[in-house]
Amino acid sequence: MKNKLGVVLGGLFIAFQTAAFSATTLTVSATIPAATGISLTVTPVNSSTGVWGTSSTSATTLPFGTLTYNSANGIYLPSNSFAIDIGSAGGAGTPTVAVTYIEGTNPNGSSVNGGLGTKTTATFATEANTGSTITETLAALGKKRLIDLTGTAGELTNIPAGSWERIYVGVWTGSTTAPADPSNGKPFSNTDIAGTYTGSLTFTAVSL
Amino acid sequence: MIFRTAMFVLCAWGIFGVQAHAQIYLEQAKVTVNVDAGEHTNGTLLVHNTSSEKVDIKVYWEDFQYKSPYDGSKNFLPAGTAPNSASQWITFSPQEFSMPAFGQQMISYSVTVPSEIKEGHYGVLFFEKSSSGELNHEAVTLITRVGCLFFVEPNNKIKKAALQDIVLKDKSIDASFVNLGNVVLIPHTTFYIMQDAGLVVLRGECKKLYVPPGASGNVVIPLKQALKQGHYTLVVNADLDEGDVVVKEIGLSVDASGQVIVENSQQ
Repeated sequence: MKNKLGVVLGGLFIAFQTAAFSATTLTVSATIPAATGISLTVTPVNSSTGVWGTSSTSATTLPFGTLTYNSANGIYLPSNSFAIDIGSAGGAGTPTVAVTYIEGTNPNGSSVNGGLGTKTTATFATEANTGSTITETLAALGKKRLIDLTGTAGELTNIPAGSWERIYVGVWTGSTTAPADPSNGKPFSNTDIAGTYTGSLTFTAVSL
Repeated sequence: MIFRTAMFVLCAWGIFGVQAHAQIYLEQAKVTVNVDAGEHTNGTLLVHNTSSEKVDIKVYWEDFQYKSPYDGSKNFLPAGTAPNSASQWITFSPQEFSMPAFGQQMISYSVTVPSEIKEGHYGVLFFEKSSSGELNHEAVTLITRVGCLFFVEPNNKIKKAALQDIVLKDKSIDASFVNLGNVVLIPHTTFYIMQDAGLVVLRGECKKLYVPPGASGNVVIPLKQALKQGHYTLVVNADLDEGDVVVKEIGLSVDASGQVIVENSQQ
């Protein structure tokens, strides 16, 4: 009887040892692919009051519309400028976004007056979200004529985590208030040929 | 320079909800295909519409080239115009499609390599949100596109590089990373500075470079702290991935005034 009890206890001891020391390691892993995504949110901003209108994530144009004559300055002005918020996140990747401009229809032709790209500007800003506060900082790209956005001139890189880029697009007025309009821009005036001036802004997001 | 600081109620403006989404979202930002001559391979990409509205997409190929200073910035070129274009080797389908709100679309691609592949071939498959705006007045059309980079490289690729032209700058030591191979190299470069006794006094990493064959990028090794008088060895490791590493050892001496002198360099 004592021998049987010893065998049982010995078996239980061995079973316990086996259970205690033959641990199996299960590796847990998950891979998130480096993704690329882009979104634009366009908000019209009233040129006179500075009041922001309704934002749109489906806007495909910045419609300046028919400009009105400002007799005090002798130039034509739109009722709105536009703020474009660029969301390039949305995944594990951090793509760079390049903003480039191509001139469309230009009734002025090859005249020194230029087309829409000469008469509109883009101001690049970085928006930082710190809790309930958004701080806006003029980005290194500063303020440029749209016609100057070629190659990497409008490339947005090194955007800090939690921040995003915003571009204000407006018609050139010759403003000297910081950030001043670039001196090589031109206003819409009576020296321009009447007609429709167009162009396109392309936002390209790719990984490095 | 801060030119405006504004306080917003988060939910009132709704901008934060927008930041979390991408209207066009491509799961694969980069496809790397290692192939032999004459090989044929297939794959798929998945693109999402993360917006609540239907999106029309057109798909097309362009070439790209990394450009100086090789920090990842690129030139995009029409398909087939870059010397190392992969455009003739890639087919994809569909080339136009619509995605419903929050929908997704699978794109199939195939890579057919000719009987000879001597170097890496590259390009980017763009997914562009189509615009159908009829313009009656002054307007700027907005075009958004996301790209998937394609790297088609031979299985027997040559990944070879040299770190040379070591130059002491004001607060850094600079070196040229020269790509001597036949594919784009993307080195992840780290460094450490070691005293004669073997104690590491400074370590860090350098910004990534994206260097095509035959080109060279500038590696900047920041000297974030002053070194005491003595002799040191700077060890630079450029990890080229897949087990390939370029290592450079550079002797440094620091005199009593704190002046750093690059003594010598050895492989």
